[in-house]
Amino acid sequence: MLKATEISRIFKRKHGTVKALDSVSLEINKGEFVGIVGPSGSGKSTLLLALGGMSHPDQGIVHWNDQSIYSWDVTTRSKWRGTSVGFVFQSFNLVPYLTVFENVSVGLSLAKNGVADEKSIDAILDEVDLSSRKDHVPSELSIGQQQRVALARALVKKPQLILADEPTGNLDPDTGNEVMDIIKRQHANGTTVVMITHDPNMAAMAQRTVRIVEGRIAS
Amino acid sequence: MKIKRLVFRELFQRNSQLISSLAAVSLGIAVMVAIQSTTHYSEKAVAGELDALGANILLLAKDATVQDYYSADFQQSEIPESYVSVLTSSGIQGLDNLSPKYSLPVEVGERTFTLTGILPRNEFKSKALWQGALGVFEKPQNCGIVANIPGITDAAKVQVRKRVIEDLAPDAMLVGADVSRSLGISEGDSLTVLGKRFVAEATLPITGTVDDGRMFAHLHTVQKLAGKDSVLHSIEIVGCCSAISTGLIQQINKLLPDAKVVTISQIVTTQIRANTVMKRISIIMLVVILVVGGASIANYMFANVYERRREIGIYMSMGANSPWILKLFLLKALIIGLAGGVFGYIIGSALAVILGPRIAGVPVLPLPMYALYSVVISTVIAFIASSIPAFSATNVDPSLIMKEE
Repeated sequence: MLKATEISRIFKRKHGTVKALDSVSLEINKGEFVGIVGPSGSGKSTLLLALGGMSHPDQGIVHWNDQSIYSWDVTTRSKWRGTSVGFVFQSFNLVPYLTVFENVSVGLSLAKNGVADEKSIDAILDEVDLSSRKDHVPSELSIGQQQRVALARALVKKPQLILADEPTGNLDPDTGNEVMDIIKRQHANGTTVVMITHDPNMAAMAQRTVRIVEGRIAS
Repeated sequence: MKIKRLVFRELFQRNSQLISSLAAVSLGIAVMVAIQSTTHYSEKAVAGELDALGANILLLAKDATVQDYYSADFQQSEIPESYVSVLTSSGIQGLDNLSPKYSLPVEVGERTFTLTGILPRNEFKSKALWQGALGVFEKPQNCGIVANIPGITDAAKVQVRKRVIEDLAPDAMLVGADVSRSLGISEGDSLTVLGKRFVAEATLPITGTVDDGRMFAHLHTVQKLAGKDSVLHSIEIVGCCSAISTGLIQQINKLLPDAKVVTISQIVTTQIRANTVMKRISIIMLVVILVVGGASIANYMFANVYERRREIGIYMSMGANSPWILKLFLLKALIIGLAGGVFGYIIGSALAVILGPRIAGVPVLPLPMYALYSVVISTVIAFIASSIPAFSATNVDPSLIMKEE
């Protein structure tokens, strides 16, 4: 389903270059739940961005269903990301001036060419138990609620692939488990999940764990 | 969620920046509207004043001089009367009025005066100085039109029109102020000139021109007294000042190569200078607005893009492409431009109405057409100023979204 072949990503910095990814190859099957672990600065987030079509590798190819996503034009890749990929971030990245409903609505309307079906939004908010807070702005929510909004925003379009960057990193264990329950439910429904985590307990929930060290797959 | 709604929601998140940016473009537009509105009415007032100066182009016989014109001493320097119809049917733009003339030296009461034959309606149109005494006649169109200045009510115009003298009968004449005083002639008095008895239809007010020493009768009456048929000594032309500066004289020369075309340079120069000064001030203001308003909006938009880098990255991760990001910022520029134009027009018009009479000495009313200009200029400035920041937004590094806040 998703396959990275020999991808490298090099960043130019003031004092030289940094090789964030060094010939990484990784194959993720449909419906699989893959955990990515590794120390800070090892290239996990860069890999996630490359897999999601947001960071063009300097070398190598990323395939989605046997099609090279970086050979597509930018519009096609954006459209694919909008419809097939759901990103979840450690710091939630909610739009601060939009309500819960509107944050989720933006995600859906970008996927559906500006059309956001209110029923779908209500359904996903119900699923993450935030129906009663849909008119609140993020600053009025708890940290856990904010992450659930971020999850709802990623899931409302029913993506085939969830790319999560330490989704429980900022949460207490109980709230983290609530969020992981939602992700596991999605996985159980057939969604492919790639999740970066530092937490061994969370990593243990994945079917397979990939360890990255200094831009290379260590195990 | 529609992008328009998203833009509106974001617009009011950074109120102080929005207000300062909007204020810069609004005030710029306001200054332009205030100057333009005041200039508009000022120009009209000046145009009215300049109308009082009368004709600004003379058509004479090739061998005649301006001195001949003022002394009415044309000898045999005549031009065909058909030149009038040639000019009127030529389609040349900017010929506001033609006043054909034939003058004769006449002796009345042992004094020599000039009897000038005129076509009354044409003459009245070009003689604003006569209008106070004789009434308001139909004025030239376009740039020579009488200013519609607030304060001069329609009722007043109607009252004046009741005194219009539209024509001169074969035995009627208008008597210049000096002639009237010298001969003691009043309205309704009769006098005999070249053996023909005339009745003074009206005595003209003091104009300070050669008209004061002249008597005016119908052109065809004077031609008959001179034993001439269909010839003239001169045609006085009220030419539209902008047309003069864009080749009216050359066109007349080309049309009537056997005549001499002379501009009354002081009048023309004054007319052109008045318009030029106003136009230059407007251009300077427009440049100031472009620079100040544009810089302010550009600064605001650059800051806005910088502050929203993470948000842009999020939209990208959700499937937003470059045109969508561009639209997000340019729509915002459009709103700022429209609002700046509307506020600028309102503030500028208010300034012009309040300050115009004090500064320029003319009453000023809001000009609705300037609302359209304001909105268009403001929007164009906002768009141009926002284009670079908006394009830079499409190049935001999406890896920002992965970093901790």
